[in-house]
Amino acid sequence: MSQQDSKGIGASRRRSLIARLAVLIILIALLTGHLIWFNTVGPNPAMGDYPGGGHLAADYEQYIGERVVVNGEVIDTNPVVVRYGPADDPKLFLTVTELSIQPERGDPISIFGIVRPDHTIEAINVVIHDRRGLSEYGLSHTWAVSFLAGIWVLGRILNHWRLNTHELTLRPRAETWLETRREDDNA
Amino acid sequence: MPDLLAHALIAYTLAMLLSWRYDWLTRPYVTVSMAGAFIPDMTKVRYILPSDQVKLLIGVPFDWDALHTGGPVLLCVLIGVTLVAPRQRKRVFALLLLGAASHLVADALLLTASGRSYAVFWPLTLYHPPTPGLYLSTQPEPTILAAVAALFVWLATQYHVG
Repeated sequence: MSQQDSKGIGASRRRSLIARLAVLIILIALLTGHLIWFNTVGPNPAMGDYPGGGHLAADYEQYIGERVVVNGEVIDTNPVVVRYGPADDPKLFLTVTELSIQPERGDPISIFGIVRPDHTIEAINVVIHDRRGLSEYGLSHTWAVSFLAGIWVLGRILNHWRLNTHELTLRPRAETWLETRREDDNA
Repeated sequence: MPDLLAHALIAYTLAMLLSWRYDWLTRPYVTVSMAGAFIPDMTKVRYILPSDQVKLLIGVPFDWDALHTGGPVLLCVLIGVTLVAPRQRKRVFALLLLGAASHLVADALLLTASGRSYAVFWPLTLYHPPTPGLYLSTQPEPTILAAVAALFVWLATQYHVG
């Protein structure tokens, strides 16, 4: 290969790297824009996007008479009282009326209902979550299982893909399950 | 869906089934679909860095939950595509999308108190489609079912390829 050829290849590699970097920066900027934008839309009950516990915590009076969805934990059963914020904030609780089921203390619960004055919610429908998904240590089994999944997939990525340092791309490693797939690596 | 494992298993199962039809869909690409299934759950970053904290930091509204909607998921898929060489781009796009879409669909079937799911198609629309409420997010059964399905296609693929 002459010197000129290798220079030409170097230039085209640089151009393609710059182009990819530019696209990457644009995509990350767009994504960030969406994360900002999303926080400014809703709630919109007509679209099924109901206000939540965060809205109630910020301005309870504003939502009286409105339908909301609140997630929390049952802290008392007669009457049913649900805490939907940190334990050290005494304001963030709701007395639930019109319940069709009897939850137990400690149940993780979602309430869809109408906000009434004086920290009361008139339940339309509630969902009691499965306590098996939560361990006694407060750390959910779901997290342990999800962590396992993360390790599994990360291991697969490292096993199946390698960084091509020359062009800064990820390339599939040689395929074992059918040898014809090796073409990927040579492309 | 209860956990990331269920989503990874569903993506694995779907990609393995498609590999019977498409010869180019090899193990590395099955892995890509599993990575795609992780995209919507990047919202879990909020447990390390809550949205409110980011808001204070950057001084504008901010919500990680957007990562669990259609548009931002598509952007993440495209970011993934820029990381690979031109020859793999179409395939990586297809499989990241398969994994991410399977996650969004599975989560749109979750039981909710309001009977509505989430803004699946945002920013096209904020509409929260009604959910059939097939399972609870805290239930272990869907994960077990997904594991059985994955095991079945794994065994069938060994037979199919061998």
